[in-house]
Amino acid sequence: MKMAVEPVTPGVVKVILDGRMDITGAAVIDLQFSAITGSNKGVVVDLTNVSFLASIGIRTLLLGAKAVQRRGGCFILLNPVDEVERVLEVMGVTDLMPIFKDTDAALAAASMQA
Amino acid sequence: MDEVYSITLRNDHAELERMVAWVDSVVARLRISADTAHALHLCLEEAVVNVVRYAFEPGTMHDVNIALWRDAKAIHAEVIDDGRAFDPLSLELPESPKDLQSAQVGGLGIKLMRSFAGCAAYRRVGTTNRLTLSFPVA
Repeated sequence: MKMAVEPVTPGVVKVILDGRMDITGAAVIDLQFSAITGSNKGVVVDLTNVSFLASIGIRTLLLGAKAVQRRGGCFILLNPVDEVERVLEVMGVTDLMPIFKDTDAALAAASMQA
Repeated sequence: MDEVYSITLRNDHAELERMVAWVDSVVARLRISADTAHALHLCLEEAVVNVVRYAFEPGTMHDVNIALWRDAKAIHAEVIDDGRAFDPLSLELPESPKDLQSAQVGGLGIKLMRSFAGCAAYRRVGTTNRLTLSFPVA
């Protein structure tokens, strides 16, 4: 699994994840993901290239979202593929954080609180 | 019953990558839908991660066996380990979260497994745990 971080404006970043968010993938990104969500107020997580999401990956997303929200920020998921979105729905995650399909709209929303 | 495919993994999370490749190869032979293949991948990931993490004394080496087969109605998977007796299906599922801050981050794997397998059953046979997961095929 790969993770890239694109700064958008001060305090706002787009995190681009790529690969399988399973036990192997989550182990690779967890530390960096937690550092990013612990230090930004607007975080858009681009899931376009995440082909698989297991419970360990949901844990990563939930912990990140909690950290951002606790500081009054905005954590947004962007463009999950159908299978990943179904996992998010079944686990109730879609009720806990916004999911956008459009990058510009997601970045605009994430920038509001920053 | 048709052919049974099987693989033996060590109780090590690094073995999960080998499992994923093996499931992909069996799925290709069984000609099942993408949705069923996804459910199978998801449930096996959760089941095996659970076994590797909780079934054994730390530092001990064990095998985890997986068998996959298909009949007219379903794809069946069985995960067998010789760890401590443990029925993952007996665990209480985390409640649906009301808000983000109160959302639990543990116990999610069992909920995923129960949601994505059409049917799940656990048996203790001798010194082994046997978890069977079935996925209906159209």
